[in-house]
Amino acid sequence: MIGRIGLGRVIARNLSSTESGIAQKLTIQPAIERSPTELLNALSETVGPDTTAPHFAYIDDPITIPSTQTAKKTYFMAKEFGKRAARELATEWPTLFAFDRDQPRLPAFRPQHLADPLQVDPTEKSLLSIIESREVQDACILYERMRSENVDVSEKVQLELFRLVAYYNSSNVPFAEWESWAGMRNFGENDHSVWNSGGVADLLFETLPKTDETVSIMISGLCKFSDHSSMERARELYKEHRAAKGKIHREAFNGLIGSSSFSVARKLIQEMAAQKISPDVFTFNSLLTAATKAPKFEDRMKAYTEVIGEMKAIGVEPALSSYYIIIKNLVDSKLLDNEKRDNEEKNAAFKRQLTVAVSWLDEILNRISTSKLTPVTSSCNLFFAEAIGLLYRASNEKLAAKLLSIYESKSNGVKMPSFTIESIFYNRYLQLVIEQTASLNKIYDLYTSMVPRLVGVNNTLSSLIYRKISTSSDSHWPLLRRVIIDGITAGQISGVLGEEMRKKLSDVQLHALGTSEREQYTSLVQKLVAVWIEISQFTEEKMRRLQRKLSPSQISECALLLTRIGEQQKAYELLELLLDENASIGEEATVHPKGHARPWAMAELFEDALRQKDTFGAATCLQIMSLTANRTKLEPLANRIFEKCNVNPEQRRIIEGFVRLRPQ
Amino acid sequence: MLRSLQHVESHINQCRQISTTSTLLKNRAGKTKSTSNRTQLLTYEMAQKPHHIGVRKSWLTWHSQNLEEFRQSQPLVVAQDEVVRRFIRGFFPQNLVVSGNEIVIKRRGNVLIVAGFLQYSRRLDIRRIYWMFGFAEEFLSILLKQPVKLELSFVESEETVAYNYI
Repeated sequence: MIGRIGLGRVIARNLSSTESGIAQKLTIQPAIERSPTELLNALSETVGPDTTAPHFAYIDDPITIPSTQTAKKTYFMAKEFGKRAARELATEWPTLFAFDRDQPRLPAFRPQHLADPLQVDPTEKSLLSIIESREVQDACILYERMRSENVDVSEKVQLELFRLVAYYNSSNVPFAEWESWAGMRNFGENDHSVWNSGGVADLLFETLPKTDETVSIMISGLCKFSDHSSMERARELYKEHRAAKGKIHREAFNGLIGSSSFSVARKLIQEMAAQKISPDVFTFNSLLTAATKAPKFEDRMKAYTEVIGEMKAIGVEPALSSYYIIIKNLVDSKLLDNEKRDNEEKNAAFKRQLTVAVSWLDEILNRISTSKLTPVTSSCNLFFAEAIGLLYRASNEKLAAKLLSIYESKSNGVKMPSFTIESIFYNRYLQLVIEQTASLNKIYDLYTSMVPRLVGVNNTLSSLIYRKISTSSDSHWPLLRRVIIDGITAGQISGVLGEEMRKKLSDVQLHALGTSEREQYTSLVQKLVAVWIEISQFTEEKMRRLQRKLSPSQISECALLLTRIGEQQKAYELLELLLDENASIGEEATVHPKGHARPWAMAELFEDALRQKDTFGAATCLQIMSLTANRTKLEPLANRIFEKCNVNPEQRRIIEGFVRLRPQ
Repeated sequence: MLRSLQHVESHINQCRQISTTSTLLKNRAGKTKSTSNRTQLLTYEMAQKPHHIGVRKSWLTWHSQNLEEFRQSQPLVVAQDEVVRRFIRGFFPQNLVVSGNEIVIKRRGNVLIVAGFLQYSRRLDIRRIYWMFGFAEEFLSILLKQPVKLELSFVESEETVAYNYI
């Protein structure tokens, strides 16, 4: 009954609201205009970056995530080469990939061979299409072929070709300008080449009429690939052209200014002004480059101040690349090397220059922190890496944090390429913070957020953290564990850092750890010792390259760690290797013949054996210690065994006899 | 009368005859023969019966072509799946787990994602794995004219994916 009444009320209410809805006019709000990426941005802001995930270029699996810089490069390149191999196959045999269901047809999935300059029709059209695809050497070959076959090439096409060959010095596009293969673009290195004299560019320059444009292109090319002779030629060309009442373009002036001394560059700027050519950022960058050639610090400072003042007066906003040139060359390059600063005077000069450089950088950061940063030239991103380098030298953590916040802010559109420059930037920042911070918690948080995603594990970083842990009064098990685990993946377990790992693990106060931490300690020690033993057993011909024999000091430390986790039996098995002569002789040797067990580790093992009343263990320790100690040192140890352990007369006689036979 | 009988006989001959061979009325799908010493490995996928699909286990191919109103090119999807499975089986012969029978193919937008497990116990060369991943992704992309991504995870050996031994 009540239900019926309730239903009636609801219906009545609905009806009344419908009636009032008809009376009111419904207005539909206009849609808020959003950009195509706005929704994605909103999602990204909500989720935020996952600092523990690997870079998206890698296979997201613990065994395939690279931790060192070298591994990152190797894996990235391996994947890219695999892709290139597949693409090459598809280019060679396109009929095998003819599963043509895509509508519209997608050329991205139909790779095709480039036109062969020796096979195509020697026409202007083919030449233009090769020029358009920026295949410089192919274009040169086709042009020479057309000349030998007496095919006429119009002046317009010749000019197009001249532009291309002068810009790239008749060689193919450098790796840094490759569009489709990111690995080659970032990791490929081209040698700095000098002007290819007598090449197609020179030939075309002779053929084409000497207009303002052709002369400017030639001068720019000569300055871009400059050596002594090409620079002289560029200057001569400029003089000749000026004498013939010609005017060269701004780009040619930029080239000439950048490769001259500052005094000559100033004259060139005056000539530019006389010819009413307005300078741009590139002109000022060239001027700054010219200013870097001044040998004295004071002269350079004066020149930089002058150039920046001029930029301000004209209203040209300096690009990050302008600041990069300044920051890079403020401090004398000779003073940067610690070893070369061999006297007080040089040290004082370095400090003074560094202070000035930091104050300049502070000023620059204040300026750029309020503006939106956009890439103007290809070297803009280098500013951040150079700036952090300077701050690292000056140990200025505060400014480094400011630089990082500018780099990571949304208004910054200048990003460094991952795995190369960006990794250097973050590595420097991390090292600076670790050096300047006393709190291990802060180091741990920063380390886990950056390693290995942004910064590859490296020996300098790991040893810095070990040093920090040693000097700190606190202990931080998660940090130590993390650094050791990263060290294992980065192949640091043999050598100095391996020794450091053992030392740090033996310094850990087990009673201060919680239950789960103690379990972690146990499994870490087990894993490490197992790896060391396994590597020492690579005695087969194929594997010997990877073998790292156990050293006596390593064995003693490992045995100590094993006794700490309660694996006495394994520890004594390991210690017996020291007494086994065959273990260090021949091709099957797993132990280094040289070196001695660590006295402190042996002393602790001996005490442990006495505590356990383990006669066999104590005797083994005594025998190992006898390799380095004489009779006077061994006698008290033997007496302690007799006191603490249940030694029968036979055992006593053997031990006494052993000690007596040791040298005095 | 006799003529009509003749007609009946010919009619009977045309119909299906009663089968005299032993019948196979059992459902054989999803039933794995057990061994006396319990050495037959079963993965989770194998251990669940066909009627558990969609309840305890899921499909090995994920796309919208088998839904009502979305059927545009169902045969094409089936053919593509087979191409992808055969390619993965042939290209990673050393790394397959349970003969590559449990590769999951997912279609999301225009992207085809291949997921599943591979093992590395026979040979662990990570650089080689990266090369093969790059090759397989690009090869399948060019072949199917759509981006293909591999989301294959690694286990040390086949035993890691064992759910039961029968």
